[in-house]
Amino acid sequence: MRLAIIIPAYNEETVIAEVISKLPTKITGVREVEIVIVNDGSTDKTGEIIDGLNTSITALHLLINSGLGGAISTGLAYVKRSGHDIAVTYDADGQHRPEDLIKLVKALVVKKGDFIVGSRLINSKGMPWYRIFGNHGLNWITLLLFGVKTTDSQSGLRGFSRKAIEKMNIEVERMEVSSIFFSEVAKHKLKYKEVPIKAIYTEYSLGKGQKNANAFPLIVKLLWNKFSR
Amino acid sequence: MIITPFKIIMLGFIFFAWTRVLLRYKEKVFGGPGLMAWTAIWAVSAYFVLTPGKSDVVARYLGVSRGTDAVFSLAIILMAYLVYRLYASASYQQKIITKLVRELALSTHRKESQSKIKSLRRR
Repeated sequence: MRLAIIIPAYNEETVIAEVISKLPTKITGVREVEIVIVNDGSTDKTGEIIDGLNTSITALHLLINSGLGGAISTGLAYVKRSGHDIAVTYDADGQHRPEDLIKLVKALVVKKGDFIVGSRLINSKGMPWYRIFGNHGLNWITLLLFGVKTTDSQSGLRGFSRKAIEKMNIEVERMEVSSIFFSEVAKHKLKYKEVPIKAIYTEYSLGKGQKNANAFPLIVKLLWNKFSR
Repeated sequence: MIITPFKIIMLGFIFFAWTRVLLRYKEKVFGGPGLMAWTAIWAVSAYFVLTPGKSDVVARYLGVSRGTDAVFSLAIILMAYLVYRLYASASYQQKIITKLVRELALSTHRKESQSKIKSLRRR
């Protein structure tokens, strides 16, 4: 199986090299691992750092900041055209552990699901309370709007089977993409599974990602997406 | 008919708005039918500003007690529709831009990869 690890990166000059260096290059059941970094119009040295890495990676540079949705959809478009069998999205801020990525890949290899999410809330010990609160809120909204029950709709660690790569059509730009994946799961009747993961919370990683203050505009975008297509 | 300062200001604004319509017509933003439609709208507005009592007649015909209520209700509905159209347009523009940026990134990567393969073959 050919695996692509898609890493959307926006202004991650502090940690990107370290995050990439810790990624596994060999995984049981996987013949080839390709790291695909999508530089989402970074204004710091992220792009230069990526291009200067010794490791053989695929770097896609977006000319302007297109948001998480824009970056991930670019990575998935590349993976679709390159014919990879499975793909995983992985955060660039150092929040994820390589061993959890391996766990997710193994679940994909044995075909446990088409869309597999690494859930931080199956065991939420160590997660800040406001993140737990915000996540539960968005999980409810995801369930209400798209009918898919999930414990962690906003997780950045996601796995895609070839079927999911082929079928999913992501046309949103920003953070709402995390919930829109579930809309695609429902629309294409994809098999959804979760694996428990543990997130690494540092001052740096907590400064990134979804904020509770973004909840209202995000809900508006999800409603627009639901009723305007 | 009593001409009050408020009516003068309103008529002044209506005249200004109509001159913008003329400019858009000269710029060919819209044609003859568009010019006639907008002229009619502003003419009707000017008529009701000069004779506000007549708007009550229209309002009663529509089932609303006062002309002012009818105007406000219509204005709110129109604004809601305009906001919807603006949001839809902005959303569409954003999608197009994201798609363009994506294709550019993929195309640039493809060209760079092909160039690297060619230079490796030359060696």
